[in-house]
Amino acid sequence: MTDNDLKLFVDIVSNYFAKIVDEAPLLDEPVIEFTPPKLLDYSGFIQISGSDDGCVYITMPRNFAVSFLRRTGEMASDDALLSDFVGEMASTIASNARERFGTQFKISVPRTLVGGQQPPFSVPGTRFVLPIRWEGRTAQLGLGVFSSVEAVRAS
Amino acid sequence: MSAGRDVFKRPRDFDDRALGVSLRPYEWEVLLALDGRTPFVQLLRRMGLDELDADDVADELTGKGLMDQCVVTYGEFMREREVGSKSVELQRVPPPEPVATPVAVVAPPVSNGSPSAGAPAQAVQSSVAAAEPRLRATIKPQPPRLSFSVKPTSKPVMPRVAVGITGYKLKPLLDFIIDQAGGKALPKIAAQLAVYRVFRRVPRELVLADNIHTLRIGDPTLEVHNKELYDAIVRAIESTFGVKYESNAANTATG
Repeated sequence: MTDNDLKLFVDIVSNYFAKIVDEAPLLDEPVIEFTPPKLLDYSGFIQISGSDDGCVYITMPRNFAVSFLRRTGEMASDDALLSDFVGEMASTIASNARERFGTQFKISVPRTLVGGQQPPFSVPGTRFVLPIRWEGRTAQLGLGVFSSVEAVRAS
Repeated sequence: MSAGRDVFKRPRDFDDRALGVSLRPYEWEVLLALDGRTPFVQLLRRMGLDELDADDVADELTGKGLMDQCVVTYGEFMREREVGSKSVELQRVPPPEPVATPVAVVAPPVSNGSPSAGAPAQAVQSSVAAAEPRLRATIKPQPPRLSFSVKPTSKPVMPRVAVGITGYKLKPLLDFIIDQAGGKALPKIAAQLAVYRVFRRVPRELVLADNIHTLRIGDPTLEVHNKELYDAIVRAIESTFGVKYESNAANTATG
């Protein structure tokens, strides 16, 4: 996966925000994370396979998800709804990525995680984590590509 | 990991990292009690948690990125060492001897016919004066910030660990990566992703061994302390871009 491929995911998320809430989010200084992902209250993962395998995820605190949902007109904010919402967001990212990448990569069905629990599937050990600030709250977009060593271990 | 003697602190973005993390209540207490000075095992003891295994707790909390081990550069180490030596010297100053010199005492005026305030009165006055606290200036040295102890010696001894303790700056490497990926014209996010593309090739074990859990791409003060790690980053740059990294050339390019 090249820088451009990775950048495409950032663009997709930015565009998603711009479309849904009519406002581009502020992208903070990214970090490279070497420890297991620090997931927030609601997370949506999509796994990617192709020339390189990896994953893309978005994770957000409850108040971020609630505000975002309210902006779309939904006033309820129970766990199931918020989880569905994050899943839908990941799903939109996935389908946009499928459109852009064509057959180059296989994009999995999104998986959602609630309560900061660690994913029950393997995630690249080194990840690019981009904080997304919107209305004073911060979500994170995570991108990870398995290293060749990880890929060998997994196979 | 033998964390007991190590000193830990909360990372700068602790509040952000703590979001959404679930821990046992005592673990939060421990995190909030970290002061960057007290050895971890001592901290647990002070909190009445000495039945816990300091290594296990430290592993768990550092693994979640909620606390960082305090490490110091050579310069900081020497400064702290100097403060430590001074504090030890001050503590070793012997207490003042009891005053031996006679104290002049002026006997109070006595009225005529009253019993003479002779020698016994003088003796009483003299002993009272000797017993009265004298003014003393006590200089309390600041408590040392670091946990290591320093034995006072007449001659300063250079620490054997000092060689190579100063970090290797990453900025020239990061500038080189951005240059290779397309230079300043590159959109910021693409440049940052190029840095990620290099670091994903660096063995994670080496990074974690250098106590790096996250790396802020935009931080110009970034440095690593392990030559092996530095070399691994250079190799990753070379294999990502198929070029040879020459540190002088990159430094010059950076300006």
